[in-house]
Amino acid sequence: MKTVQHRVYRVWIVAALLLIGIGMGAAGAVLAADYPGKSMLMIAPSKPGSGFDTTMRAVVLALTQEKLVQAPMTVMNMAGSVPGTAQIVLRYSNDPNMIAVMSTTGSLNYATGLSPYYHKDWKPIARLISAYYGIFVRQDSPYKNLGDLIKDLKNNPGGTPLSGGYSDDRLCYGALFSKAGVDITKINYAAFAGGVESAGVVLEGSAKALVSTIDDVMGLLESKQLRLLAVSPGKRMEGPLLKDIPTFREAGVDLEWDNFRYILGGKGMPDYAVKYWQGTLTKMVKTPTWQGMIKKYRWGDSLLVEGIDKFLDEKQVVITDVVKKLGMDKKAKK
Amino acid sequence: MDLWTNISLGFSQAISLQNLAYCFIGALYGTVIGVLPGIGPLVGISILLPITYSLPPVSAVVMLAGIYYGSAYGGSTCSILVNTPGESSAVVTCFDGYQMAVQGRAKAALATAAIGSFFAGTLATVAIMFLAMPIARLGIKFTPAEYFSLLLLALTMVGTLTTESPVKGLFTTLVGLLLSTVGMDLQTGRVRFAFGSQWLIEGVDFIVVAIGLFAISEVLVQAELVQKFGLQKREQISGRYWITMEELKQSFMPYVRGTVIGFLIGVLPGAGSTPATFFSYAVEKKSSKHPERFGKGAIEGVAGPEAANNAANQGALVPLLTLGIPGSATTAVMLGAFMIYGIQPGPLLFEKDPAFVWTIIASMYIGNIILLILNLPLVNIFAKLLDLPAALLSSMVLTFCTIGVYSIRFAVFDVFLMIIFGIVGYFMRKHDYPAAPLLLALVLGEMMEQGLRRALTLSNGDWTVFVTRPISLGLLSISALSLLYSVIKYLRGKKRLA
Repeated sequence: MKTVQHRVYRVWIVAALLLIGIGMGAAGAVLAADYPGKSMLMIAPSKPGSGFDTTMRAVVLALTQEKLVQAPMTVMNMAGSVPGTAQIVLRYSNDPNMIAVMSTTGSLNYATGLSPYYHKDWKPIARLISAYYGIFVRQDSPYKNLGDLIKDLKNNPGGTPLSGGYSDDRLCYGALFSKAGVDITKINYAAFAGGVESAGVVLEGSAKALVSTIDDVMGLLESKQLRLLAVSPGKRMEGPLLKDIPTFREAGVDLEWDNFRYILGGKGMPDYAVKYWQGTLTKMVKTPTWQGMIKKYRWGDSLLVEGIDKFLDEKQVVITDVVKKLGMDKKAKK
Repeated sequence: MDLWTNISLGFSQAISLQNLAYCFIGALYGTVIGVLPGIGPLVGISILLPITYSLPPVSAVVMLAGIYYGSAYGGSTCSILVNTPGESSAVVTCFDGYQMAVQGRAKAALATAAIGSFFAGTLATVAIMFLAMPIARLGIKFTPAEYFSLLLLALTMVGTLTTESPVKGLFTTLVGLLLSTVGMDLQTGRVRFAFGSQWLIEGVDFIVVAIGLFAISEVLVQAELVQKFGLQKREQISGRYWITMEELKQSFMPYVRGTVIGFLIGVLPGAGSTPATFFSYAVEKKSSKHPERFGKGAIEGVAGPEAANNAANQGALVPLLTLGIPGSATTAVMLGAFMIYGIQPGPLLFEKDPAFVWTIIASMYIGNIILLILNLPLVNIFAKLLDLPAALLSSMVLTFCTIGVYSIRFAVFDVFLMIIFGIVGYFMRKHDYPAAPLLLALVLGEMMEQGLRRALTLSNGDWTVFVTRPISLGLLSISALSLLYSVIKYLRGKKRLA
């Protein structure tokens, strides 16, 4: 969403970053033993306060506090995932001192034709965290379980509107309800800026159910304004409010879904740099600082280093398929 | 629960030396980011967040809240002095604030903005104290259908923003609406009118257009004056006079009306303070006995919107604290921060952690007093800026605007866009095309369209949803009546002339 309030970065950071960029280009490759040697550029391809931004800042905080990286690290925000990935590919492909964060959004943008770049245009380093989805209804909703909602979506799609975020959340409802045999092109889905912003119309009653990552609306669940019908991971989740909630699979739809965030480097990142970051991040996720952060943010710990390329390949196929079913792949162009 | 026990508990905590210090730091930092064009509370808070993790939760939230409402104080400064709106909510202040500065009444304008902010901030805090829960429940009743009707009403107020030909006003409104359709459509995920540019996927940034149309075109006008008349010694226009009793009296009712309007719109999740400022301006102009003074330095045109801006900011905290639903991008970031501190906003917060809630509320009273004390002396310092030679001041404005616009998202594209709008704005001025309706339509157009589309999605394409819901019907009726009134007034005026 275009926000009405606008923001600008501190001027000197811009200057510093420009200098760093020039310096890096001129100096060329660093020796493997010294890596990272100079300062690291940590790109969060979205605005301050966004999911990418909080993730990157959490990584920097953990790496600094646990003294895992000595080199200075600067977080740089970029305008949205599409121009963000374009900049990463066009400007930083051969810069070993740049890493960035990406998510399901990257695969979605490629599938819808918004972005010509995808995970093969950069070097995935490690998947860090996952957010799991839930299907929520108002506390007094007549729906007792996911099956009730699916029945209504099949028999009366017009009278069963849903709400949720405009971006990745679409993929979850698309994957879930198409798997359940619903004609998803008939579903009325009112899109908002994010999960918690879409909760209002469910609480009011205009929308029958909400599709959102669970961490986003945990407060509304705790205060018993919303009720959770089913959750998206492969096995049940922990915590007093979540342990009794069936998974999609238990509720009769054979699907696991998550919204993952991973760290990447430029396509030309040398092997020693990739190895360095894979090792460092593996160490980082075990530290108390990082564990404390993901607990507070309610992120799911889902480190994946070996096989991250294969994982992204498979995800791209699934996401492209869902996007097609949603009818969002029109006019896709490379 | 007893209100007075709660509030005294809150004050006893807020007055601790540590919390007072954090409140002051927050207020000061907020004022600074408010004054700098382009930097708003969103970036200010996001950057500071990691530092707050190590603070006790109450102190951290006291500081964040200080930044949040502090930035609303500073927002008007650049609008008044150099016609440069730092945030979208400060655009309205340019209309009369800058005219006041040109007439040598900069100090009065800055002072009425600070006092109005204090008045609204304090009154809105009282409202949060007594009315948070019932008002939050009312806010939920606002579905997309109501948003659409509310924004339509705001758009019918466009007429009040134009002093010249209504046709020209209508024309720039339509241009604004057209610009608002550029970028990704949330409902389908498709991108419109981007012409293959990745920079237009998120649409035309409002602040880029606003700075172009107001600040850059002003620089061009100044350059033209220097060209024509040479570099003369500029008369001292910083103004000797502080705000007068008469001006304060004129400001009082706008403060009250602005506060009520701002608070009511602020509590609606997603509406934001910008529509509140436009509404307030329209109401002031409509209720004035001398509407022709507006746009030419009417102090009511600064007092009302500035109060509305602060009240709306404060109001946006209501759905955040009571329901756990953020009303704006900035409060969404604050919600994230609360989670880190282990605080879960929502209906239970007032019961589970009264000390926390009431300390925050108490700190808002204190913060507003701090901000008033901080801002009034600054008036003198800021007003001195105006005594700089025109050439120097204009180059400063140009530099700050360029850096500000570039660093929104590090895009040279935006700088070019700003320059283009600056040139367009220059010619619009020369030919009396008003820029305000364009900006209003640009900022409201997207919200209005999304409201319309969401409402129709939820109602399965049933158009009657706008008239069967009572609040929506009421808002639409007011729009219709106000349009009818304008037409009758216009026709009568014509008859009299004939």
